[in-house]
Amino acid sequence: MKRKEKRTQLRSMGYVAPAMLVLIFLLVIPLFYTLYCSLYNLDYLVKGDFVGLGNYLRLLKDVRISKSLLFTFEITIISTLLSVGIGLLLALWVDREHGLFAYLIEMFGLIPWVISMMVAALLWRWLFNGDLGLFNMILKALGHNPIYVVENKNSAIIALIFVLTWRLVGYAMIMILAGLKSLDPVLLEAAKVDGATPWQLLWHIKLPLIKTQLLLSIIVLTVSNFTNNTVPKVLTSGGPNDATNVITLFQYNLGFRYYQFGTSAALSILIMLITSLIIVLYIKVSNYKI
Amino acid sequence: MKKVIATLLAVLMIGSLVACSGTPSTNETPAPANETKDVAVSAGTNGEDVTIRMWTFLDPTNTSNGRSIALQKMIDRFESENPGVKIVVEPQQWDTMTGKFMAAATTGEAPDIMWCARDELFGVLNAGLLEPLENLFMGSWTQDQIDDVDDGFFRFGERDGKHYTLCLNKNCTGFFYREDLLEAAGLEVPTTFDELYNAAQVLTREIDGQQVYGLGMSFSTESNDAQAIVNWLLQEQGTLFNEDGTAKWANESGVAALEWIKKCIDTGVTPADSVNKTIEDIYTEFASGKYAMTIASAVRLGTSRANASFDGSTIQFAPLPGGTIIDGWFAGVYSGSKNKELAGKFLELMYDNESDLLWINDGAQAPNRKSTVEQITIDDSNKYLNSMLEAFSDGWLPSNTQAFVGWKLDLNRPVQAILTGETDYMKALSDAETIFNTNNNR
Repeated sequence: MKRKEKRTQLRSMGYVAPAMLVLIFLLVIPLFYTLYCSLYNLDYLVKGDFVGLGNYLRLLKDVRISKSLLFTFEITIISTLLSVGIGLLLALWVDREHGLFAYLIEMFGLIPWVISMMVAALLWRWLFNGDLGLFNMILKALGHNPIYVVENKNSAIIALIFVLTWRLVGYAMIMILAGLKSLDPVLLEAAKVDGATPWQLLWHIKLPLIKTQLLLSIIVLTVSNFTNNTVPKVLTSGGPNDATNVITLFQYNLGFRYYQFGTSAALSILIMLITSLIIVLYIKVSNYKI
Repeated sequence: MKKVIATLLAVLMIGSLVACSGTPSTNETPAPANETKDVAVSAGTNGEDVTIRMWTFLDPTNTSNGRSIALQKMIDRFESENPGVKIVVEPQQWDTMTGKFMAAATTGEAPDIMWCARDELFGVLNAGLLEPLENLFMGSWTQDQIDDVDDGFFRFGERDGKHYTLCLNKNCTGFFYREDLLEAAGLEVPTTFDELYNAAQVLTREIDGQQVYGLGMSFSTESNDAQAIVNWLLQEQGTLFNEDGTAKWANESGVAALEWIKKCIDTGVTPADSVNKTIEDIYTEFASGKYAMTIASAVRLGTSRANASFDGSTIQFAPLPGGTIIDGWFAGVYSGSKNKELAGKFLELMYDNESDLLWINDGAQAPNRKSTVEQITIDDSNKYLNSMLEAFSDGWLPSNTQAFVGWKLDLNRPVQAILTGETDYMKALSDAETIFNTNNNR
């Protein structure tokens, strides 16, 4: 019996091994290699002196890093809340619709998520173009002065949040909608028979039952926004005057503009620790059991 | 049944993996330098095709870009002269490809031929990623051949007496102007910053319902060419850096440059949205007719002429007042390449007299060789060549013995700062200096 169990165990491990090997090669080894790189002076990818935590200390002392981190937190929180909030409203609305209309809404909602981020950001950059963009053409046609969206500090931040939200709202909607569709109609009917108002239905039945989908959406969206480099790079180039310089853009520039790969690796590790911390925090706060 | 399906799927997967890994290997052993031609011939006759990979920003399949057309002709010539050898160009994003090359070299995935950006060449040479050309073909060059290419660009690719690169697409920053608009306004080509501003002011007006601005400038810190502030600094102090390599920007010259730029924005000769525009935005907008003049790189003249929504032949190039930054693409052979000889042979071909004429005639580039200059006729249509040649002889290059990365973009930081409300010009310049010095370990 014991031998049979052992054999079953070995066979199970054999099944899991290919996937684990892929994960080890694609995730674990690069992670440890990045950690190793972060402890060295690696300018221009030439291995220099061992600096220990020197790269980390340099980053922690840099005011621009802390400013950039704070800004990244701000836009991540705002755009995630907006995406999930709007996604929830849309999902609740679509859940009540049926047929082709509901299908079209779901499909259009997903387009920003499925198209290339680079293409989407470039599209918005040109729509917001000062003199030649569609946005200002409409404003001019309505008799208003043009707004230089990505050239002004505040409007550039708003534009960045808007595009990040636009990109993810469809994803949030689909995730939440999947949760709503899986609800047992008997529960909802029973609540209605007991006299529950639509608000009570939502607050006491629907939301608690779709907690998993909501939490997963929030985690995916938070990490996606926090580590998004493409949209800020293409839409606002981190400017004007560092107004939209998110932390991943900072990290990218350290590596690929200034060729300080050791410091850039250290910042990558810090970003990874922060995102991991955010996920753990979400799970703790929501009492979610894995 | 499940077991049968699982077995079938496993067989299918293994089959796919085997099929995908079946690419024939490239030539394994490089030949000695003096046997290049024989290797090329044997590569074909042995039935083993050799592939030479090259990274550049040019895409030879693009038939609307003059430089790409010229490159394709060179590839065709090389492949017909060397049967069995194939040149594969893997087009890259110009502003990130040198960094990508350094990263690719660590995993052995770097291409055989690489076009390096000027400011990154220091790092590439430091990492030993390029093969000395003396080991490939330059060792057999005569003194006359060397004299024919010997200039600042050629010497920039030299370290410890060896040459590692040949400069292709020689470049300098200056400005494009629409000759028709200048003539219509009765203006001469500006030669000082005052003249440039005055001309821009006259040229700023509405034409056929479209607002045309006198001077296009871009101040993005992401993707850019050197802007007016650089020329101001060169005009006033002859260099951008101190002897120890630290930035020399926070001074009266820098302030004068910022004041001039601010004046251009405040008076509307340059649109206010330039503050966050990349150079690519500016080229696109210039081609759409938004500007009468724009700060630009000479190498983009051919493309701008081809893309213009107006008569492109009216676009001319002139150096900016003050001083000119010279630039170019420093092409070399990857030291880890398995086909160094053939790669070197193609590099040499891209630089020979026949190719030089292709770069000039098809690509609107400046000559790489002194001997080519004597073969070309300069008339009204290509008089920009005179401006380019003049700029090359007086132009400024940073040293290749120290790291000077990011300065072009860092010099746009103070401009962005003052255009977004930072009123202390000296502080804006000083902050930019600190960023440059820190990031270059000074």
